[in-house]
Amino acid sequence: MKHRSTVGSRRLGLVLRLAAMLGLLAGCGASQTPGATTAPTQTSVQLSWFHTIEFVGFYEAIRQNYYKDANLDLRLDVGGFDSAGAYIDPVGQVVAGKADFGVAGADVILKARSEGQPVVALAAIYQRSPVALISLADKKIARPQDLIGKKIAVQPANSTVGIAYEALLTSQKIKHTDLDETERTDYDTVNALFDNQVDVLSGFITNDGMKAKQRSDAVNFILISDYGIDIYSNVIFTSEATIKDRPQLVEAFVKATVRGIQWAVDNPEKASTNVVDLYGQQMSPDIKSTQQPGLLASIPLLNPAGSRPGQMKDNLWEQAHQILLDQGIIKQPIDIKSAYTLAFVDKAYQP
Amino acid sequence: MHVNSPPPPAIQPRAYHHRIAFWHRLRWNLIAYFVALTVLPIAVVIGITLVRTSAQSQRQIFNQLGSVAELKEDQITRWLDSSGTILRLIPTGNQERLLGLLADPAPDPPALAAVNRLLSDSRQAQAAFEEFFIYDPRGTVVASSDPVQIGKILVNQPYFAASLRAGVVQPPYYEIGSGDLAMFITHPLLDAGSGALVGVLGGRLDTSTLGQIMTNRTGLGDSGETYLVSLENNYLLTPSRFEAEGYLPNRAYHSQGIDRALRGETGAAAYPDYRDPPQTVLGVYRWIPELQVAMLAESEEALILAPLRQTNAFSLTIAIVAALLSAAIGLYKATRIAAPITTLTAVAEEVAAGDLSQRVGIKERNEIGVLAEVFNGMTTQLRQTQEGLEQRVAERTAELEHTVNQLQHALNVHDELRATIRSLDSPIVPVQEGILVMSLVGELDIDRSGTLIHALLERIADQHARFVVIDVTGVSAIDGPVAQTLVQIANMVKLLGAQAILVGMRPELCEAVIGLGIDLSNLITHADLQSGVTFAIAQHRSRRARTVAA
Repeated sequence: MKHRSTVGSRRLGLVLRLAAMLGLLAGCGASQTPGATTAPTQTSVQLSWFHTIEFVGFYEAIRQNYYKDANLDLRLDVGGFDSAGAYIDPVGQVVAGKADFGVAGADVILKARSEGQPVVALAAIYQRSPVALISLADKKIARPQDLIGKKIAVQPANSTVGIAYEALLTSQKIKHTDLDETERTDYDTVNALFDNQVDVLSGFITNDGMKAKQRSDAVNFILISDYGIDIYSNVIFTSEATIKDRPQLVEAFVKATVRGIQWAVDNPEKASTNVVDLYGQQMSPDIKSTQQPGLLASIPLLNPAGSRPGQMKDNLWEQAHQILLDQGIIKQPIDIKSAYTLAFVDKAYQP
Repeated sequence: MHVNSPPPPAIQPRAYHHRIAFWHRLRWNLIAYFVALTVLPIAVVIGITLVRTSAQSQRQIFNQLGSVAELKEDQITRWLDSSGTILRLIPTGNQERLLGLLADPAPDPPALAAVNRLLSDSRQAQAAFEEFFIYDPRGTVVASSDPVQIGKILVNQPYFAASLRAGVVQPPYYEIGSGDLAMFITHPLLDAGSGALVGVLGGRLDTSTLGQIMTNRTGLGDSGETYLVSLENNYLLTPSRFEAEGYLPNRAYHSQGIDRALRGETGAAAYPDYRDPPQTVLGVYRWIPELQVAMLAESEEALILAPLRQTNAFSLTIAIVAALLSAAIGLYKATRIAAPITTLTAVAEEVAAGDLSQRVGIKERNEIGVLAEVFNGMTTQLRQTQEGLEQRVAERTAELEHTVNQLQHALNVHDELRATIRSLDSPIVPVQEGILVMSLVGELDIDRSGTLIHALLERIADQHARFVVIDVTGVSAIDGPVAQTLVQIANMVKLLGAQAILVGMRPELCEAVIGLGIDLSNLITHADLQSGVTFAIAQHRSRRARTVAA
């Protein structure tokens, strides 16, 4: 009898201690997770263009509540042009503190840094270059050498496409004088190609390429990424100050965003339908109809073989830096390592 | 005197209606046994059969799917091996030409053309590869069976870095631009002397071979499929059976089989497949490390098990019908057996309760019928016996009454005799004038002493007796009351002016009298009758003399 009461009281004591511990843990947990008790952190991202499937990662991260789970309240600032007709510059917005995060090409980031702007890239959206030279198949323009003597609609020299195009010509040792270059004016359609105004159109495979493919199966693409040029065309960046002062915000934002990209890659139809549902009325019919094929075409860019969404490679930053130097877009070499960090995207994939 | 004894009390009916608990009742027990005996074996047999055949069927299907999967994995590895062999054959006998091209920063057109021709001839001589190409350590394609590829820079392709170190089998992936499934095998070209890498020979595999292997329906029947799933985003690398329904390659597919296989596991299970809504499949899953892909071999459970299910359903129906039938028969038979017993029991209870007029109306031709008959006979006998008994009881009672009357008569006679004896047994004899002698014989009870005293006193008064000699020699028992009586007699005699003289006292009588402490002053005692009478006579004479003298 005496033995039993001892065991029983010991057991009771253990249960009470356990309950106390659990209570404490629950209390600790409640105070630590910024879930029910603390208000969500307000944050914002300045997109580099109008709403399009390029930014599907953000749209899905919002829709799947990945930001909400991280206790973030994200405001999407659409890009494009302001009321005055000036291009909305994400770097400017972030540096001025009007947005916490922004989207821009690696070339833009490196140039900004060479001008002393304290921006830092966090993760890549397209990990390979989407830049393509599009032509109708009957022109038989399959290789860069085939461009010689052809009429090409080019983009401004310091644009993402322009820089990539320039790098291609350089690496392939093709002179501008060998080509009949004209500035591209119509960015909404690929009519110039089909109306035979130009032989070759420079643009993105994900939108222009898909528009062309929609009209005809007989199109040729010269992909910049086939020629070793993979300048990140859109990276997520923030300011040095944000990284220093609010690293948890940066970490949470990057993690949620790459999750959003992964969801879109896993479910391309649903993701593209969502984009059309949200922003279709802002899009021209051509753009609207190419959202889905565009997303399908961008899957190898969003998540290439052997990589995960958002990841970046040191050599591609070095390559971009070199190209910019070669083209004189930046005058002096800069400390590349300070232009980007792999820390946050690596942390997003830690279990 | 006749005595009318009251009639014997009637037999009170006891509570003979036994309560039998529901689960003890014969009828329900019989039914239960019948049903159990018939339904239980059927159920057990059917149950075991169903379970075993299902399990066996499932095992069989898993075995079959496993064989198909193994076979296909074998085909894939052999395809890879033979493709690798084909690739490695190309440099054989052509080392100089290839290495020469790679070593030359500005190769002359004929040399380049020769290598290109070699590559395109090789390409045409086999079916595994779509293209052969050679690139330098910086990634520039210097020669190819497809001229369009020449000049491309492969430095950012997924296989490039590894291909500089060793031969690579690049798992299939979806390309930029065309969206085609691309797969490469590479083979490093080393300098004969130094062993340093001078370039890489690459071959682009015709991935439709993979599709052909996986979509081959041998061993899969109508409801099965095999397919490959890439580690990259869980994409399908070979067509799904349901492609026409919208199950296209590049989206993520998940199922228990897929997810497990991509984790490197190999096994078999029944699980919901990747469709929406998911259908249960019997699936065999394997991880193919050479290709870094998951292979699934699945068969839709509902379809493949349909014939078995039909058979099982049929057997089950038959079994249920048989069971119901036997249960019905059992119910009927049990009731038939139990009913007469129940009736018999009820009637027996009635009989036990005292109603002997009850009869059982059972006409069975079995033991129960015999029992019923015998029971009826017993009851009749019982009734007859009872009636007979009652009659004899009445007769005996009459006899007894008669006897009692006779006894009463005898008793009366006896009383009279006793009175007579009483009156005879206490004579009072005058022995002389004025002297009486009374001899007491026998018992001296109240009645008798009363009679005696009365008679004596009358005689004393009547005879003017002066002396009474009471002889108690014949008194059988003398006790206190008797002694008292004697003293009373003496006192009463004294009152009448006579003197009582007690003779014949025995020793024990003396003890009793003295013990009482009674006043014996009126008692004169003498030893025996003779001395007593003599004394009395003497006394009387002297008294009479005195009287005369006076």
